[in-house]
Amino acid sequence: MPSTDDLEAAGRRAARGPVPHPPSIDTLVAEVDRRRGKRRRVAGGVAAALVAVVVLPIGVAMIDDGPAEVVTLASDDVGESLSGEPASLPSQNEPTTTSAPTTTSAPTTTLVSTTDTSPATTLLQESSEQGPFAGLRDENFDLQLDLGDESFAIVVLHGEEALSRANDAAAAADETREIDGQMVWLDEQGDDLAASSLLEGESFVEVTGPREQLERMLDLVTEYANGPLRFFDLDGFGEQFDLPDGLLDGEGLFDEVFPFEEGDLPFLEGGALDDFRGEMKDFSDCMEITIDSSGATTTVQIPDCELPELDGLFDGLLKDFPFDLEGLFDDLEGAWAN
Amino acid sequence: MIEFASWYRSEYPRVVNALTLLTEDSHVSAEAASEAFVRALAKWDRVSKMDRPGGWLYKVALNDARRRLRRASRDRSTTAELDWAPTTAAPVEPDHELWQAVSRLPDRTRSAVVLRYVADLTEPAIAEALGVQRGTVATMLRRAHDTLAEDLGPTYSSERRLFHAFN
Repeated sequence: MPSTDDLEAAGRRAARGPVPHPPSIDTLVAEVDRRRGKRRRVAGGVAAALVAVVVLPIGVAMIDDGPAEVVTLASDDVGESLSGEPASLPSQNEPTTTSAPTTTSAPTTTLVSTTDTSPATTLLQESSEQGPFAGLRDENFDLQLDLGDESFAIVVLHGEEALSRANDAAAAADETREIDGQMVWLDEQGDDLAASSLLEGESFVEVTGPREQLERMLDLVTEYANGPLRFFDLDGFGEQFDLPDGLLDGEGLFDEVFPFEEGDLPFLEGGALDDFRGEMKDFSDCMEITIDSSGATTTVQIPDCELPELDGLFDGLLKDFPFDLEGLFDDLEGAWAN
Repeated sequence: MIEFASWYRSEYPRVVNALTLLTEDSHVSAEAASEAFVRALAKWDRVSKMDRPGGWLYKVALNDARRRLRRASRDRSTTAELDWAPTTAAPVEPDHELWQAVSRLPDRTRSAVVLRYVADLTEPAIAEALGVQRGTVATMLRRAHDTLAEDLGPTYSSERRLFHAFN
């Protein structure tokens, strides 16, 4: 019978067995760099998708004439929707029970304190059935959206004020672009770009942000208005995955996309499933968002935390799965790369 | 903090050989090992500070090897997908009789044996790699010894000693 010594000796010999020449350190480093580049693009994609989720429903006419659950903020409505119904904000006097994100690299402080009494500060994930912005679509608002170290300013005006601002925007435009039948005025402002439009002849929408990001978003809207972008309008993606909660809650999204339990998926077992769920939890933590509408401008902060290695997981897992999420990412990356 | 380059150079052959004993596919093993080291390098700040980086590495490598094997079993025409992966592999055939007996152990028990004696992992690291409790690892190893003793017979050890004395 083999003794422990026999096994240890056999193990040592096996460990020293011949192996193919390993990749060089330089090769590994290059591969890591390649993946980081891809992850940055994916992260940029996620950020742009979030912008799209927040902004595009406002300009829903650009994409779809149908009704959408509008994602807007009213700076003068603190904790209350236009309809007078309480928005999905935590109770003013009850401590909110939220957990801190696991990552610490966020440049902005994003969480409410556990004894926060401000009705204007909330986590988007605390939204109610209608979402935190439901019912606010007809209000003028001025929104600041912070995505890590990048900021977007979104202004929506209605009525006479909208027509006046539209005329100004048209006169100041460096470029006019037609997107899905909608005129969009582009005004370069240093490193930023302002894109504005008059929707349905009465609502002025202006989004100002980093030129590169905004160009990508416009390309996205232009190229995918009738394609994959429908995933990001709340009629499509939202219905499927219960956005905005679905997108912002990585685990929820996981459950929607992968409505399985361990053992149901032959390629996801035990540790692999745990790993994936863990990664999605990290993703969810990264995506925790705060909204502060205590000032004149409502501010939405999305931490610029380090996203988990989702691309590696997608590489490994989603090739085996019929849902073409990887293809979707490829499509989006392709759109931004062009 | 351990240094990646030296860790990689010293551990890579061990990882490939351990995986090959478990997967019986040296090519998949080499690819999975390379993948695990790439991920380790990408997260080196975190991995290097782990109590048991080996446990983490083997967990990643085993998961990756399983995925590759499943994919390969569905599509036998699958070839190497990573241009940085090794393109050749050599079999591991020392102590053939013993490893044949090990290969007949239940999957998880076989993994525990290989991780313990080839990968030279501690029981806590094996537990981490396999996603089981430490006590479970000890139990699996004990049962593996019993099964191997029964399978190989009472003369195995003395025969091996004689073999090595003359080789």
